[in-house]
Formats: sequence, C-alpha cells, structure tokens
Amino acid sequence: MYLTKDEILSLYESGELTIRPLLSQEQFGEMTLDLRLGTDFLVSFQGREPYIDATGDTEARPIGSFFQETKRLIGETIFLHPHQTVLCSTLEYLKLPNDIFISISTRSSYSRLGLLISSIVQPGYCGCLSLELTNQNNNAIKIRVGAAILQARFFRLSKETNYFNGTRKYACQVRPVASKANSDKELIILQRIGVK
Amino acid sequence: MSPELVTLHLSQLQKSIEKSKTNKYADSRKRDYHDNILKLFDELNKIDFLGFSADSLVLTKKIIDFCFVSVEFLDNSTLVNIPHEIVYCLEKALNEWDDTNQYIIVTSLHNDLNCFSFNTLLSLNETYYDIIKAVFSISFNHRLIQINLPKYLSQDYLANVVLYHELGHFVDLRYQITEKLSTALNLSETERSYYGEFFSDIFASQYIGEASNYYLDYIAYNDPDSLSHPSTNSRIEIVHKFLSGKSDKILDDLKDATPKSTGKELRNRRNVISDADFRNFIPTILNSEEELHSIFEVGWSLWQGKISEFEVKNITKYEKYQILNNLIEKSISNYMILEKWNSYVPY
Amino acid sequence: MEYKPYLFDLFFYSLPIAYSKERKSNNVEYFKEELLEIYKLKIGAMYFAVNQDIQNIETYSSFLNEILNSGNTYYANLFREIIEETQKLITSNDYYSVSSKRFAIVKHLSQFPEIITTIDINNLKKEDFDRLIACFDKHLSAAN
Repeated sequence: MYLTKDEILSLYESGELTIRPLLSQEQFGEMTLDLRLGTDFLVSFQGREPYIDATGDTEARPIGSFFQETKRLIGETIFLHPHQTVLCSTLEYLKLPNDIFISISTRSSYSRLGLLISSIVQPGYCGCLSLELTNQNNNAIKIRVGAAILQARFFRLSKETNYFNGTRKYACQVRPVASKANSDKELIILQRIGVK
Repeated sequence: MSPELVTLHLSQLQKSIEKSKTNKYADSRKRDYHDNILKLFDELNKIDFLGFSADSLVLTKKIIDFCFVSVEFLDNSTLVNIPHEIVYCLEKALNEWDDTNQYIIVTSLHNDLNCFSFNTLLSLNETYYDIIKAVFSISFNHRLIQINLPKYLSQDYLANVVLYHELGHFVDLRYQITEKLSTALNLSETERSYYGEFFSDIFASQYIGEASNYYLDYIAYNDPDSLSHPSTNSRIEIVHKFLSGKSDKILDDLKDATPKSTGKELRNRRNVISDADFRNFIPTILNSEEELHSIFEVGWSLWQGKISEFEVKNITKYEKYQILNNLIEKSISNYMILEKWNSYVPY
Repeated sequence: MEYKPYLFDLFFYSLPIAYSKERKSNNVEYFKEELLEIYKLKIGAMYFAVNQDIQNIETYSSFLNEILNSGNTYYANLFREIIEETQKLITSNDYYSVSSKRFAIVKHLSQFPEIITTIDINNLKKEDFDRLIACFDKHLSAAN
C-alpha cells in the first residue's frame, strides 16, 4: 500500500519513523518525502589494478580501496563529471518501521539534469542511506550539499519483518560505505564450484 | 650551521608550501593563517643568508621550522582530513574559556596509537609571532592549537575524550593557572606538574563526566607516581571527588586559582541525557552545548554495559563499537547542521 | 605599534646609523629594509629574549642589549609593558593579576625590586637598562 502525506506524517510524529535532522516540514510532499544530499562522498578512481574484483576472492584488493573519501560541508558544492558515479549518502539518518519500505529516486528537477538514483530501502533499516549517484548528462553538474535531490515513496507490507534477521552489512551507517559484496557468504560456494 | 644548510631547509619548505597551496579549509581563519605563512615564506626567500651570524642562522632555521609545523598541521586540518565533529566539540569548550576567536584547533594524525598530545609551539609561544611581526611586518591574527591524535582513532569518539584533557593543558598554559598557583604556594616542579595533570583531568570532566576516567584507566592503568604525572588512581579519585562535590586540598586549590586566572569557575558544564535513542539505534537530538558534550558519556556508559536492545539483535562487539561511534558522530553532526541551518533561515 | 617620542631619545645614544636614518624618513619599506639589515647581523639573541619557557638571566641580558644596540622599538615597547607589569606585581604581590602572556619574565624580573621600582616607564633612560644588565651580570657571576 502506497502511503500518503498524512500517513507519513503520522508515522513521523508518533516516532515510528525517524528522520534526523529534518530541516524543513516542506520536505513532506503529498506522497513523498524529500531527502537531502549528505556531506560525505566516495569517488572511484583508477589505480594500478585493472578491475574491481567482486567475486569473493579473499586475495583480491578490497573494493573500498578503489574509492577515495571526500567531504563537503552543508551549503558547499560538488561537481559530478559526465557519466561519473559517486557514492553519497543522505543528510538524514532514517529509521523505518518494520512494516514499511521506501523506494528512492531523484526528484524530477534533478533527474531532468541526468542525475539518476534508484534504490529500495528495507523495512526496519536504520542509518543514512548510501546511494549511487550517476550523472548521465554530457555536461558536468554542480550540486549543493544539503539540496533536496532525492525523494522517497513509502510502502506498507502486509506484515512486519525483522531487519536484523541475519547479518546486516550497512546498519547504522552515517556516510557512504563501499560495497561489501565480497562478504556475501554464498560467494564461497560459487567460488568452489567455479574452481572445480 | 651554515648558510647552505639553511638554504637547503628553505628549499625543503618550498616543496611543502607548493603542495599546501591547494588546501581547502572550512574555517576562513585557517586560510588567513595559511596566507600569512605564504607571505612569510616569500620574505624568507628574498634573503641572502651569506654573511649571517651563527645566531641569525639558528633563528632563521627556527622560523623555517615554525613554517614547517604550521603547514603540517594545516595540511592535516583540511576539509577531508580533520575529524570535524570532535574538533567542533573542543572548540565549543574552548570558546567558554577564551572567546577572542583567536585560537584555532588543528590536528595532526599520526601512526602512533598513543600519541594523544598537544603542542604549544604555534599557540602560546609568542616569541615567534613577535619576531615575525618585528622583522617581516607580518601580523598573525590567530594562533593554532596543535593537537596530535592517532590516525586510526580519528573517528573513535570513545578514545577521543582524551582530547578534552589535552585542551585542559592548553587552558592551563594559556592562563598560567598552575604556574601562578605553584608560585603562590611555592611548589616544586614535580608538584606543579601534578597540579597541571589534575587540572586537565578536572577540566575534561566538566564536559565529559566520568568518561574522562574510563579511558585514562585503560591507557594508564595503575600507573604509579612519576616525575611528571601523578598516579592514575589519584587522578581518577580527584575527578570523582570533583564530580560528586567532595572536598580535597588539591581540588580546592585549583577551584580557588582557576577563577583568579581566568574569570571562570571549574564546575559541571554538561547536562546528562538519556541513552534511549542510542538503544533504539538512532542519533540523539541535542538541544544545547551542555547536551552536546554529554554525548560522550552516553557512549561510554553504553559501551561498558550491556545493551539488551543490541543483544537481542545479535549485534557483535565490533558492530557495537561501530554503531556507538556512528551514533555519537551523527548526533554531533546533526547539531552542527541545525546550528548552521537555523542561523540562516529567514523566519 | 605606536611610536613613543621618548624611545627615540632613549636610543639616540647608541643608535646605529640605520636607526638615525629612520628618524629622517617615515618610509615603512625603508625602515623594514634597514631592520632586515639589523636582523642579518645581530638578531639571534632576540629569539631567546621573551621566550616563556626560558628563565635565564643570560637571555634576558641579551634581550636588553639588543634593544640598546639595535634600537628595535617594537622590543622596547614590549620591555616597557613588562616593566610596568613587574612593578605592579612587586607592589601587590598578587601573581594572579599578572598577564598570563608575560608571566615567566615578569616573575623573573620581580626578583630585582631594587632596580625595577626605580624605573620610570614613561621616561625610560639608558641607565635603567645598564643597571638591569649589571644586575643580571652580577647574578650570573654569582651563579658561576
């Protein structure tokens, strides 16, 4: 079920939905919540390794080493070069109820510039949302930290889930975190199959 | 000391200066300071050291060292490197004791896990600034408080409580609190040094409560009296007496001397806040500076105890460490963001 | 930094040519250039002069000699401030009233009340410096 503004506000005011900091009530749209660009970024760079190894090989260079941290304070600007993808996070730290998930996309003002994000956030998630922001334009785009570039749509499940059921790699994160794909346990099985 | 060696030293500085020109700072005062260092370097570059006396060469080398250290700390205090949140908290504490806006906290990150310390060279040694002004007509409007911390702990908010103690040393030296006290009481050098350590511990505990003792007990567990430091147990005890309002000769001496030197009293400067939000995996909303400093005590008390809300979710010890640090950081960061936002909102 | 006329009179006795040139010209750049010349020759001792960490009679003696010999008005002005604070300390015996910035040197000079209390800070004379230096030399010899 798709939640409307009143329902989202009700969750926020009751404390079931946490949004910290909420800089403006105007972030609540009729059926969305606007979210802001956070202060920390991971920018990929080409090192001497020719590729990022996401096969689970424990000898491979860590995925995080292909990214460089950078930071801007709120109100400052950052450039996204044409076709560049950066990992960013939301300014807001969210905690979702156990029966609500959200779908994240760029607000239309920014998607028209060629900035694209698409992601789903699980029920019960807590933390700043780590997102991959891609500039599909042929021009570089300069954006401001703290700008409401994202929007979240809220969906209710038929029953509650337990976010902490199983290992959660990205819980309570406050900045973008490089992929932890290589810690997926099933990769060990697949690796053995592949070697054989 | 030869003119050639001083010229070599200056050339080494040039390399460092060139790299630093692209530094970006959040604080415009650092930019001003950096610009003065660039001007000073340009002036030094104009001088021909041939014919300098030995004393003049030594002095010139010391001024070049001054530039080197300045650049080192400024390099480590750019937007990307500096641990913003902890420095923000320290600056808030500093402003209570010195509101001249003259002092800027800068950090240098080192590979040594025990290297929490503070250096007076760029903050309290007026000689350099006097000489630079007298000889080169360059006025530095600010001073840098240099704080060293371990690189791997720069985002460890549990360990970094030690920095409040280091800030205490700065305040002591800035106002010569224990120096004046020791002159008045005719103390020995060791006794003066002990008073300095006690002062810094008490200073820290004004803001972070018992948290100052927790980490001290860890990094200096059961240390006896030394030439420069009193025993860990006596330090823990005096903080405990301060926090519980009990009397003690040393504590009373410091409580008497501090307002005479600074105009400010040693007193509780924190508001104890609930840990309910952290137990619920969310950052706390901080409503005042007193609550801001209290966040460290919340983190420590949760770290040392069991958190049932974490245990039912099978959170491991390492995850607990990461979560607590993240929540402390985000709580402080949100306070910083709201402070800026609210100061610019037109209504 | 404010130029005080009495300081020009004070240093007239031992002015190097460079300093007397300054009296003829108010050109700041020229003054700076001459000061750089002085720096080249003698300024090493000044470094130690007001260092908070060094309570050393030799260094304070060098400081005073530098003021006399090179005519550095900035340091002369500092000296005047330091003497003023020392006089206050000798009168009040209140260590807490002393400026923290100069506590070390003021504390040290307060050990020579017989000279400090006789100095008129608004009318500094060469003899004041000579007497203080002589007192320092006496203490140095006694220590050795």
